[in-house]
Amino acid sequence: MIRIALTKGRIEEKAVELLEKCGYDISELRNKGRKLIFRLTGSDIEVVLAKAADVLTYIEHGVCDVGVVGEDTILEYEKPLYEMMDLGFGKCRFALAGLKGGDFYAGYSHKKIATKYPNVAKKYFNSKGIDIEIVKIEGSVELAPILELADAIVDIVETGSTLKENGLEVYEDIIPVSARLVVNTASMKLKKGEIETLISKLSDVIKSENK
Amino acid sequence: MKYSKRKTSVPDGMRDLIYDDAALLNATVKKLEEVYERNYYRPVITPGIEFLEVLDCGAISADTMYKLSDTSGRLIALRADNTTPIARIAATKLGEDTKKIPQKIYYSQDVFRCDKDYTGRRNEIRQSGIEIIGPGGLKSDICAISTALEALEAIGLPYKLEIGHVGFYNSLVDELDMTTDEKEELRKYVEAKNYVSLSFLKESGADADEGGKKSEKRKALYDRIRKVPLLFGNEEIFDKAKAVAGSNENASAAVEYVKNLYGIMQSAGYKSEIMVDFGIVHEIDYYTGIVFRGYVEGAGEAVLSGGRYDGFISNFGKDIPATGFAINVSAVSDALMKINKKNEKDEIRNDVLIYFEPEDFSRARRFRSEMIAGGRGCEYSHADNILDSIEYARVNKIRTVAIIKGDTIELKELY
Repeated sequence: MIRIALTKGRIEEKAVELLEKCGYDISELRNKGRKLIFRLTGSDIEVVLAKAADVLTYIEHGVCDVGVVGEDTILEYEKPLYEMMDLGFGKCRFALAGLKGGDFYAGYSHKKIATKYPNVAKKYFNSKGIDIEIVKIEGSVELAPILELADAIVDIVETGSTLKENGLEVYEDIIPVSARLVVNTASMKLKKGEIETLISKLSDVIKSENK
Repeated sequence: MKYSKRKTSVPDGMRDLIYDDAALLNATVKKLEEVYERNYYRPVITPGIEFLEVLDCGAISADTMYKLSDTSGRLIALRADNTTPIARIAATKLGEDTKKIPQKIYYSQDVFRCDKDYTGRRNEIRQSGIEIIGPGGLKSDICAISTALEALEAIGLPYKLEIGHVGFYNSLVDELDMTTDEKEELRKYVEAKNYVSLSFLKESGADADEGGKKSEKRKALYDRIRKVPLLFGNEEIFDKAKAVAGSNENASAAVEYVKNLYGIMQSAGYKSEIMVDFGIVHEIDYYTGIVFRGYVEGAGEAVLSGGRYDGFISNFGKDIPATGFAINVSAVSDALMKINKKNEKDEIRNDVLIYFEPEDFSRARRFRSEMIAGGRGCEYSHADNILDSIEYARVNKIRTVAIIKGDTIELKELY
C-alpha cells in the first residue's frame, strides 16, 4: 500500500485528473464530502488531502509515502525528501515586486521585504549578498508596500493581475515554480516497485499530454 | 522575580519514556549489543560533554549543538555524535598498534542536537553503533556491512540496506572546476534526487562560457551527473553506473568496488535486503569510501547510517583508517512501538502477588523462593490490605494472589 498526500485546492484538482488519466478509479475523490482520507477502489493506493506545508511534514515523517505539492512550499520549508518529478501544472514564479515605477535597489537605507515566504526571501537576498529585514505576512502581501510597511514583496506570481490592480509591478523574477511529486526517502527504498510504477504511469500521461 | 507556578514541562524535542516505551528502548539496545558482542566488539562510554573544539570537526555542524561554558569560560557542548569522541579516543588512547591491529568498538549512548521547534523531531537520540578502527580495506568493509545486516535482522522488522561509494560522485564532480558553493548546490540536488532542478541547472564553472570543445565536454559531464540520482536499485545499476562513470577511472573503480562487495554479500545469502545507491552524497564529507544506509518498515527515515572515514581520525593527530555505523535506536523503537500497539493483547502474567503481614516476611520470602524455583514470577504486595492487593493484581494482570498469614497460605486465582 502506498499513501499519497495531495495539496488541497487547485493542485488537488489537477492531481486527481492526472490520477484518473493513469487509470485509477477516483470516483471517491470526486464525491468527497468532508472526508480527508480515501482508498482508491481496486488499487493499493490511499489518498490524503492536506495543506501544502502539511504535505511536506507528512512525507518527511513517512506517514505518507508520496506527495503532490508546489515547489514554492518545498523551497520555503527545505525538508529532507526526494523531489522526483515536475508534474507540469500549477506553473507560476517567485518574484520581487513593489509599487509601480519604484527602484528597489536605489539609496543606502536598509530594505524591508514583506512575504509569506521568509526563508525563500532570505535565501534570495543572501545569494545576492544584500542585507534585508523580513516581515512575515499571512494574507494578501500586496498591501504591505501600499501601506508603506515594506519596500517590496517576495511572492508567487501567476499572471500578475493582482499586482496590477493594486498598482504594483514585478521588479524581477526569482525562480519559476510548479507542482512537484515528492517521495519519502525511506519509502523510495522500501516500496521501490510500487512507487516506480506510479511514477512511470504519471510520466507516460504527462509525456502524451505534452505531445 | 517569583513564578506563581513552577515549570513542569520538558524542553522541545525532549521526552520522558515511561514503562513500555523505556522498556522497548532498553530491549532494542540490548538486542543490538548482543549482535556486537557475539562479533567481539568491545564497549566504550564517552563523556556527555566535551570541548566544543573537539566536537566541531566536521561531523555535525556546531549550529545544531547544545553549547555551554565551563567555570573557566571555555566552550563545551553536549555530545552531538558518537564517531567524533571515538575518533579522539582512537587517536589518543588506543596505542600505537592500532594501525596494524584493528580495534573493534561499540557504543550505545545519547546524542543531543537542537533541531528547529515544532518539527516533531527528537533532540535527544539514543544511538547504538560500531566502529572498526585500524587496517582499512575490503575485509573490514565486509565485516562492517555484515554486522550492520545482523543488527538490522535482530531488530525484527523487514529491512533494506543500501550501499554506495562517495568516490563515485566526488570523482565526477572533481572533473568540474567548481567553487565550493556551486558544489554544495549540486550536491543538494543530487541528494534530494531533484531531477527537475538538475535538468535546469546552469552549466557553471570556470570555463562555462568558453565555446568549442571544452564547453561541449562540460555539457556531457553535466548530463552524466544528472543521471546520478537515478542510480539506485539492484544488479541492473552497475552497468548504468559504469556508463555514467565513462572514462573517469576513479568513478569506475568505485563502481567495481561496490559491485564486488554486493556480489560477495549476495553469495553469502543476502538477496533483496541489499540494494545499491550511487546517489548517497552526505553533507558530512568525512566519508572516503563505501557508505551505507539501513531502512526498516515503519520508520520514515534511514535508521542506520555509516561508511568508511579514513581521513577523519587525523583531526586528532593520528592518521588511522576506520569504518563504522550508527543506528538511531529511538527511531527503531518508535517503529517497533507502532507494531506492538497494533498487536497489543491483554496478556495475563502467570505470576504470583504475595500479600503478607510484616511479621510473616520470612515465610513470604521462603514461599517466593519455592514459587520461583517452580518457574513462576513473584512480586511482593506493598498494599495495606488484601482488597488493595487484589486490585493491584487485577490492574497488572497477575494471575494469582497468595495471602500469607502465619503458617497458612491462601491462593486466590484471579484468571
